[in-house]
Amino acid sequence: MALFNANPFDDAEEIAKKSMVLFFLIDCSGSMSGSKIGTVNSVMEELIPEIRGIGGADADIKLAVLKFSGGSEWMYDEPVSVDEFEWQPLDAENVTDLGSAFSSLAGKLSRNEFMKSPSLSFAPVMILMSDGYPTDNFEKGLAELAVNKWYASGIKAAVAIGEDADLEILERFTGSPDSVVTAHNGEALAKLVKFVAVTSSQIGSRSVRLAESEEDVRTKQQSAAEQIREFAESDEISADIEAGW
Amino acid sequence: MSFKGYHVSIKGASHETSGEPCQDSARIQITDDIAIAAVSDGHGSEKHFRSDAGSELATRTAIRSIMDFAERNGGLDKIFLENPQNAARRIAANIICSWNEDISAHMSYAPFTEKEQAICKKYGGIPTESIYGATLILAAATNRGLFGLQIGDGSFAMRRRGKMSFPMPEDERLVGNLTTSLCDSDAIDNFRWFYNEGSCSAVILSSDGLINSFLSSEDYLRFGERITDAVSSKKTDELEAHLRERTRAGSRDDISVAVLTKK
Repeated sequence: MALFNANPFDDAEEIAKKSMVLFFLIDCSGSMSGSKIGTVNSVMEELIPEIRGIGGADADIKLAVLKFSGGSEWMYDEPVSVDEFEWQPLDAENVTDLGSAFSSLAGKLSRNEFMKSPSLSFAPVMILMSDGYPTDNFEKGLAELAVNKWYASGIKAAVAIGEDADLEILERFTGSPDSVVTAHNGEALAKLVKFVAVTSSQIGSRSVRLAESEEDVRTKQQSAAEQIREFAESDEISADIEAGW
Repeated sequence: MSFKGYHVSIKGASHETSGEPCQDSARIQITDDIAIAAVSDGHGSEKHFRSDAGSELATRTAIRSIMDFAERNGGLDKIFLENPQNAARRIAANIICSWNEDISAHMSYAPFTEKEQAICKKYGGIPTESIYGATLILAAATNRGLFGLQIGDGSFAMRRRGKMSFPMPEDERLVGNLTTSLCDSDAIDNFRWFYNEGSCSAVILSSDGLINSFLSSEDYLRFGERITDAVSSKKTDELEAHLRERTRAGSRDDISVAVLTKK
C-alpha cells in the first residue's frame, strides 16, 4: 500500500541550475616565472570566491583552467562548479605552445566533452592570459576554434601580461582589439583579471532568451569589450603603469 | 487510437518573479487514426512581446496542419513511406504559412497597445512574425509509424521496445541559449524531422526549460520514463508539483510537456 501511494518523483533525477563554463587559458612558459606566475596564482585564488554568486539564483558558473607551456594540460578533467573549485598552484617553465592550447580548447568545446550537460544554457566565457609569443603552430589551433560554434557564440577576452605579449594574436583570439588589455604590473594584472572575469561572466550568464542569436552574440561581446576597455583605461589601471614587472 | 495523451505548461520561476506570463504552449489531439502532440516556446525577450500568443498559435496551427495533411492524403503513413522528405517539407511549409496567417489575424483584432508601440519604436520597427516568435516541436503517431518535426530548441524523446531515446536529428548550431524559430526568414530550412516506421509506446515533447534542469541527457531520458509512468498511473498532480520544483530550483524557465503513451 505504501508503495502504491508513493510519489514517483521523490527520488527523481537531480535538479541542476542553468550553468555556464568560464574558461581560463593561462601561459605557464618560462618567461612567466617569478612574480608573474606568482601573481596569477594569488589572483586566481582570490577571484574564485568573488565569482561565486555571480549567477545568483539563475545560474551556476563552472570553471575550466588550461595551462600551456610545452604542450597544454587541463587542471581538472571536466568543468568544476565554482562552489567546489580548488585552485592548484601553477608553475612556469618551458615554451609557449599557445597553438596546443587553442586546439585543446576547440576539442573541449563540444557536446561530447566539456559542454555535454544539458544545463549549460549559456555560451561560454573564455579568458586568455599570456606574456609572450607562441612557439608552436597557433594558426592550426585558431583555425579549429574558428569553426567551433561554442567559441563563436561565447565571450572572449585576453590579458597581455607585460609589454612583450603578442597583442595581434591575442586580438585574433578575442576577435576584437577592445577585448585585449595589458597588465603592466602585478597590481594591474590582479585588478584586470578580476574585472574581466566578473564582467564577462555577468554578461555571459544574463538570462535573456535569444531569437536574433548572431545579433545578441555580437551585443554580448561588444558589451563586455566596452566595459573591459573602459576599465583598462581608467585611472585605477593606468595610474601605476610605470611600476612595471 | 491506442494512445492517451497529457499536456501541461508551468510558468517559469523567473516569470513568476517578474510578473510576465508563461510563454510556452502544449497541446494534444487524439482521433481514431492519429495521436498528435505539440509544444511551443515563445522567445520571451522584449522584442518578442507577443510570443505567448505566438506559441499558442504555433501549437494550434501545427495540430491543424497535420490533421489537414492526413485527411487530404488518406493518412500519414502511405505518403511518408513514399517520399518522407517531400511530406515533411510540405507540412512544415503549411505550418509556417498558417502561423503567419494566424498572427496577422491576431494583430487585426488585438492592435498594439501604447506600450507595445513604444517597444517597436525603440527598435526602429520589429517584423510582425518576430514579435510573435516561437519554437515548435510536433509529434504525430499512428499505429504504423511516428513522424516528428521541430524548429528551435526543446526535446523530443520516444520509447520503443522499452528503450527511451532522442530520435530527432540534432541541430548543431543550437549551442548555449541560441535557437532557431518559426519567425526566421529561412524557417523552412531550419526544420528538422524524422519518420520512423513501426510503433512506439510513448512520446515526450518538452520545452528547453525542462532539459535545462538536468545534469545529463541520460538523466533526462530516465526522467522521461518517470513521466510516462506518472501519466499511465494517473500521478500527474505529482508530476506538475515536481515540474514546479524543477523551474524553481533549476532552469527557472517555463516548462511545457506533452505526452503520448500507449493505453
